[in-house]
Amino acid sequence: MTRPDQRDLFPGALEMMILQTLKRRPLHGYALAQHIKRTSDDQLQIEEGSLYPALQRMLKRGWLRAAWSVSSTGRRIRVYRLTPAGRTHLEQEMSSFERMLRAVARVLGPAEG
Amino acid sequence: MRRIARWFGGKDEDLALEIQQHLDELTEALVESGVPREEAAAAARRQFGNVTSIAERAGDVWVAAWLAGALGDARSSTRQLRRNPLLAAACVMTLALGIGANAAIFSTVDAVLLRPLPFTDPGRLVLVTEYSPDGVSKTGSPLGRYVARAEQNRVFSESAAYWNVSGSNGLVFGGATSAERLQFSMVTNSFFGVLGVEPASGRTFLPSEERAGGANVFVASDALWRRLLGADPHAIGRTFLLDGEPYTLTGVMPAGFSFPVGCDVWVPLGATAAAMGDRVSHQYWMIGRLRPGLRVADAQADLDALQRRFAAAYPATDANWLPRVQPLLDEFVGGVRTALWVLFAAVGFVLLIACTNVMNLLLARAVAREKEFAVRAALGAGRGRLIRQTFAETLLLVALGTAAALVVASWALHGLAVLGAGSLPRFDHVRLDATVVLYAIATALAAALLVGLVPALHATGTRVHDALQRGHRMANVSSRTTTLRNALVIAEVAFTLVLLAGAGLMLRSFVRLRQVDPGFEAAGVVTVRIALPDAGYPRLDQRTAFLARLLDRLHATPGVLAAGATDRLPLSGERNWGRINIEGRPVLDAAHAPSVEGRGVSAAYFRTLGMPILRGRTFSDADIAARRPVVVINQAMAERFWPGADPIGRRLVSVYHPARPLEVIGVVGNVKDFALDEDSPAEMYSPYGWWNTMNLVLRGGLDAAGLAAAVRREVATIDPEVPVYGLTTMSGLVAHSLGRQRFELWLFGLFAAMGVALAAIGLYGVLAFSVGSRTHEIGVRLALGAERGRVLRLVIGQGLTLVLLGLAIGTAGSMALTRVMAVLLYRVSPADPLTFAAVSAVLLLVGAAASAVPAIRATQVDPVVALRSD
Repeated sequence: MTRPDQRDLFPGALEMMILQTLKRRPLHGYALAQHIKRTSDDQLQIEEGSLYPALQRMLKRGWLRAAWSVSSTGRRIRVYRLTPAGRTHLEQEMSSFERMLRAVARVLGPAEG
Repeated sequence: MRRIARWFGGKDEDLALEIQQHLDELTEALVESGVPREEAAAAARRQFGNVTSIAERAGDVWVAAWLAGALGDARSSTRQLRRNPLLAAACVMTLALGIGANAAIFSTVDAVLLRPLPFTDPGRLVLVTEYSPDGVSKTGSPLGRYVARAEQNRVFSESAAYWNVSGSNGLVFGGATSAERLQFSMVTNSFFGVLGVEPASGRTFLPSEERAGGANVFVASDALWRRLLGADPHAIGRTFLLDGEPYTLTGVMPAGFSFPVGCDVWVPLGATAAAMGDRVSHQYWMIGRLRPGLRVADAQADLDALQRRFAAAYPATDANWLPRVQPLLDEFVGGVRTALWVLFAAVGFVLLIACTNVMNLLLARAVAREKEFAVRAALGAGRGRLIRQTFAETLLLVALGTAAALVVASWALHGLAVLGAGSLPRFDHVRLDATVVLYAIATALAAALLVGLVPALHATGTRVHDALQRGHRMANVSSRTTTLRNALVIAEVAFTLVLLAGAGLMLRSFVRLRQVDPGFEAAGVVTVRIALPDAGYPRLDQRTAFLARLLDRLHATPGVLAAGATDRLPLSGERNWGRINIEGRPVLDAAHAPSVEGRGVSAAYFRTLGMPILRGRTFSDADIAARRPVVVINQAMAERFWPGADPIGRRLVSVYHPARPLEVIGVVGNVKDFALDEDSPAEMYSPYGWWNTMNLVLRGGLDAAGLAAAVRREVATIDPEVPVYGLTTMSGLVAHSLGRQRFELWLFGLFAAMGVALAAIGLYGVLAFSVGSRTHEIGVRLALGAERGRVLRLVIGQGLTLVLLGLAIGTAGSMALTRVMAVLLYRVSPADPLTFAAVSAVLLLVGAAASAVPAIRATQVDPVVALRSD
């Protein structure tokens, strides 16, 4: 039995977070998971079960590139970095995400008038 | 699936390594936070989850999406089938029947109609026969005319002439006591070359052998060589007795070569110069090989033009005759072509009905799974994905159905072999070969498309909200589904009506044919053939004397009530026409004199067959012994030449023997000569003219075997070297003449029965489902005081409405479709109202029965239970 898929907050959220994180600097899988966990104050636990399929998906779409290198601790790691296509995709997603957030905020906010 | 991923190059290993590194880091982190190292690794694994599964899913991203999906579909389809084995079995069996029956009939159509003849470039081979506008529908050409055509035509690259094989041109093969009767054909030397078939061993004929005075040689069929000569390679060059005369075997034809059909021995023409110029005896059938690029019509036009020149040059013999050119294949299969295509169409309808039924079953299941699909759609499964999955399930069903269909087809072919043998040409080639399997697969794919798309589109088109709200209660099955299922049942009934109407028309026609009076009393009459060796009985008087002695002895045999002889039995497929002039009327030449059928008979022939004598008398033994020039004619001939007058004492003369006028001494009833559905021709009986082969007819108190034994005994007493063979009964001959019709009727009836059964199941299914989904509504009605009789009427009425709609559509469709059957029917209109009324009534009854079960179930709904069940 496999565990049921951990559903995203909304479709594409995990991808957006990965892209946003990698936009700052290239990371390998473990570091990526730790980073998201840390920056969300442990609110977002990235399931490895979602992470690796997502990474592979994004590699396939050409948003990411991966290369093997050696970490500061002498470990062989596979480092992911953003491609220009990935950057464009992230910008598009962010702007539509923000539009949606604004809309949600307006609805949830105090009634006008 | 990981193996597949590997084809996409190294990505899998990267992924595995990467995940391992991740696990290591996780373990390190846990160790740092104080977890003992030996537990940390396990904890990391727990936290990470199922490594294999994650790696697989991550790897799957790279696998061609359709392949991954398809394999998944196959897995889930198998699960679905296992979950509902009864439904699956019903679908598979229905498809197996439909596709299997189709494959079986296709293999027949393929072997009989489509497969080329086993000759070189057979599409260019044509047959040339002759006919005369005044009564001779098809006959050979005189040798002289063949020679002229062969030399002067501009359409054939080669041509040949041969004797067509018929029952009477047999010969005795082997020694004096041999009973081996073989069919033979006299052929021109060009015969084998035109067909493009070389002997398997030895040679065909030398130029010297074609003319009279050449050596006695023959070519044997492979079958003869194996059966009678033990496949001895040294047989070639040896001499064998054919009808008592020594002939040298020059060659053996390859296996399977038998043309004219049934021929085992070919001998050269050995024609005299006089014979080569003969323009009167229509003995020779002509085959020609069309020059490249020419069509049958071109050859017809060319030979027509030639014939006009012949008629001008030889008006007394060549006028009033016309050549007919047809593809050689037509000569083999022309008579069954329409029948086979009609059967092929009929079995196509069976498949349509089967598909409709499966569609209905799958639709019912799709409705039951609406909720499942709605949930999956809500969870993000795309419409395309869902369509693909339902389609995969259908495909799996069809694949299983096809496998079962091949089994059904191989059984069906065994059945067909029994039914079709002897009544269909080229039938021995019918088998389940690669072509048939390919056809079955193609049919199955078409069926899958038809069957699969409707439920797939239906299942996925349902709006999520509706389906979820309806929940488990199916009180309001979407009206779209109901309409679709009703339409399917209506279609099924309509298709079935077409089949039933076809079968009904065939049955009516067959019954009419069976009621046709053949003009003789077939029951209890046995026939056998005897063949007097040419060597022992070269003269007519010798043959006549032998026959008279034999018949005398047979009449004296206890158990034999009557014994006669004839050169040609009715309904045997043999013809023998001649041209005559009536004394006192203008004398016409051989080309223009009217033609009548001729038949040689013994005195007791009429009595043995129970033929009525209408006027005058039949032959006496004295007539025969003295060879008096007398004839007996049939009623058709009397009406044609002496309408309203008494023909007794009138005289007529054959154009071939103008010096010997013949006196009409009697008129007998008409006999069906060629086929039960053809009018009797004008016919003339003569008391002499025996060839060396004759048919004995016997009526007696003994069974067929007993009568045959009596003949063998008596023949052996007179001359042990005379073979007796070909035992059959007149009833058998009549039945055999209806072989094709019987074959059609059986199959059509079978297909109609399959159609009715499937349609009944379909109707039952729809109504049962409808009652099931309306349990609540029916419960309410009953609770509110509706009578159970009313509920019964409601459900049956619903069923019958569908049947009636189907009948209306089906009747309209059948009227259009059964028209193509007109040529297959005997004295039955393709729009026969009685047939249509009868089959509609049958379908209505079946419909009522199929509706009754769910209707009765509906009346037994307990209102309390029904209302509580929500």
